[in-house]
Order: sequence, then structure tokens, then C-alpha cells
Amino acid sequence: MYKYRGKIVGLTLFTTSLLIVLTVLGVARAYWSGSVSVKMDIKIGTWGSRIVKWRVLRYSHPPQHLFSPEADSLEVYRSNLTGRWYMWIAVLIENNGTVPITLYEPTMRVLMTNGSSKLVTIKAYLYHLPIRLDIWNGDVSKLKLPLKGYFKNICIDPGKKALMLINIVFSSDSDIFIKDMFIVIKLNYRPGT
Amino acid sequence: MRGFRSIMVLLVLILMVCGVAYAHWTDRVRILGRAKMGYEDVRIIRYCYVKCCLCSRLESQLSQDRLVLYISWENIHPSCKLLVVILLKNTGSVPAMIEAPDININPQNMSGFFIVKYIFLGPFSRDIELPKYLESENLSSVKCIRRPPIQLDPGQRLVLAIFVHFRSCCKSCMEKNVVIEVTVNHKLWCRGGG
Repeated sequence: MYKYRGKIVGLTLFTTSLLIVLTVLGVARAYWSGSVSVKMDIKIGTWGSRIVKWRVLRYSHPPQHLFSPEADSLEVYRSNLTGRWYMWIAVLIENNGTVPITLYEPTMRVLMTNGSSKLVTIKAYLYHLPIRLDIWNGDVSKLKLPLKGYFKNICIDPGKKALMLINIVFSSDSDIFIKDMFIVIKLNYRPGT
Repeated sequence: MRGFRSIMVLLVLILMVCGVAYAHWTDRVRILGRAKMGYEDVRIIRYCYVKCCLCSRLESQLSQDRLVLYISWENIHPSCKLLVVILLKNTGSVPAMIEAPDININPQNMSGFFIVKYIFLGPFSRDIELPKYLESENLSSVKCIRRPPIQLDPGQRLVLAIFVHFRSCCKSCMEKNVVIEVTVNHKLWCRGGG
């Protein structure tokens, strides 16, 4: 044990001196270098739209069902279709997110017992609010549709609303008979302006 | 006896003359000088930002030591863009070497939704107005672009423009918090590049 004592002392001295040298080098390195930084804390907002209310304005035959299964979609059901059928719906849409959204023509999915979904067409007309007419309560039978001053797409600020008039047309040249038809209309929007 | 005394006197005289002559022809010249070590330092002296959308809120604060710029950018939506322009100055006494910035986006899984670009403009010897007209799409047309490493002499200024573009549209990103850190390292400029 005694004969290793010198080696242990030497090793301790070497390690200590190495540590001191490395510390000094580290301080010197820190003195001759540095950094400048930009730290960005980003919080992403929310975007969404919902159908506040709707009203059927005009039709050739009334739909059997019209309801909103989700906040941003409408479902129309009609049975025993033949020839030509059309319907106008007014939909009040609200931006319930925290960022502006741009509303486009809605997407449509048609489910029919027979026949092609190409027989159904949909057109949307978008309006900034307020509008002069009371389309929710008043008599709308004499309204000329679509109303003037519509847009193909529209920007809605958070918490604001917009009006969408939807025209659904089923037209068949042949005497095809459709027993059941479901039309799912889903709002189409993108966050941002 | 008299001759011996004369020799001794003569010897003393010769030695005195030799001593004077030695003193005359030798001297010590001492040069006193003081070496003071320089220091390397780069700080943010000014900054500005331009955001594209009105709905987002942005707050900024520069740290007391002017080394860190804190930006809080809230309520952003897809396609939101932010341009942050900072003016760096070598406030040290020796040339500094500015390296390419390190960009970190946390959490990592959000990094694909953000585009972060940067450019350096300069260095400039005089104070300049910060450019707010930069667009990330046409960076190639901007003059004075420098690629790091950049030598920044004492007193010189360097513009660093950082572009942040949020491009995701998925709803899973909503209400997420993301931290983007852009760190510009610098060290003493050496001619050899070391």
C-alpha cells in the first residue's frame, strides 16, 4: 500500500491541474464568444364555423327532412323524386373561432337509391350582414332569388355572421324516379383571409 | 619605493578611466508597455417587426442586456407571416465572427408546419433604417445579402431578418403553443477562420 502512495498523489495532482486548466479554458472560451437570440412564443388560434339557423325560402316540393346533424352541415331528405325539383335555403353562418375565416361554396354529398348524383347541382350565394330584408321572419314568397350583391366567397371575422343562400336543383330529362335522396351540405371554409 | 607608489597611482587612475569608459558605452534600455486585452461583444441595438394579419396579437420585449428579444405572437392562423428585423452591433473592441443561426422549434412535431428563413444584410459602418419591405418570396432580389460566417468589426452593424410562416391548415394544430428560438452565435474573428 505504501509503495503506491506516491503514484496516487501524482495522479491526484495531475487530475487537479487538468481540471484547473480546463476550467480556465472554459472561461476564456466564454469570454471570446457569445450569442444573441430571438425567442418567439407562438399560440395558434382556433378556427371554425357553425350554422346558427336556416330557413327554406322556396321549393317546388317541400323537403321531408331538413336538419343540421353537425354544427357545420345540413342534411336534406326528399323522397319520390321525378322530373325537376328545386329548393332555396337561407343559412346563417357564424364564425365561432378566434381567427377570420374565408367561406367558399359548400361541398355536397348526394346519396340516392338510384340514379346519378350528377343530376343534383348546388349553388351558393354569400352575403355580408346586415341585409335590408328580414328573411327569417317576413314573407319571402315574392323575393327575387338570388338576392343582389352576392359573393362567391366571403371573409367572416371572429364572432361575426354571414348569410348564405343555397339553391339545390334536381333535374332529370328522362322520367327517372328516385325513391330516396339524401343531400349532405357541409360548410367549406379556410382559416385566414 | 617611489616607483612602486607611482605605479599604484597610475593603476588606480587607469581603472577609474576604464570604469567611466565602461559606464559610457554600456547602458540598459527599458521599454515599459501595457497590454490590455480586448473584448468581444455583440448586442441587439434595435428591432422591428411586421405581421401580415390584423387578428393576431404581438408583443415584444428586449432583455436588459440586449442579448435576447422575446416575442409573444398569439392567435395566429394558417398562412400567417411574421417578419422580425433586428440590428446587431459589435459593441466589443475586437472583430467578431457571426455564425449561421441555430433554429429550434418546440415541440418538434410542429416544426413541419412552420417555415423559418433568415437573411443577413450588411455589415454597415453607419446607422441604418431597418428594412420593413422584405418579402420571404423574393429574397434573391434583396441587395447586400451576406452568408455567414460574417466578419463584424467593432462598431459595425448587421441586419438579421427572420421570416416565420405558419402554413398548416389542420385542426389538430389549434390552440397549440409553439416556441421558436433563433440563436446567433458569435466568436472572436480569426484570420485563419479558427
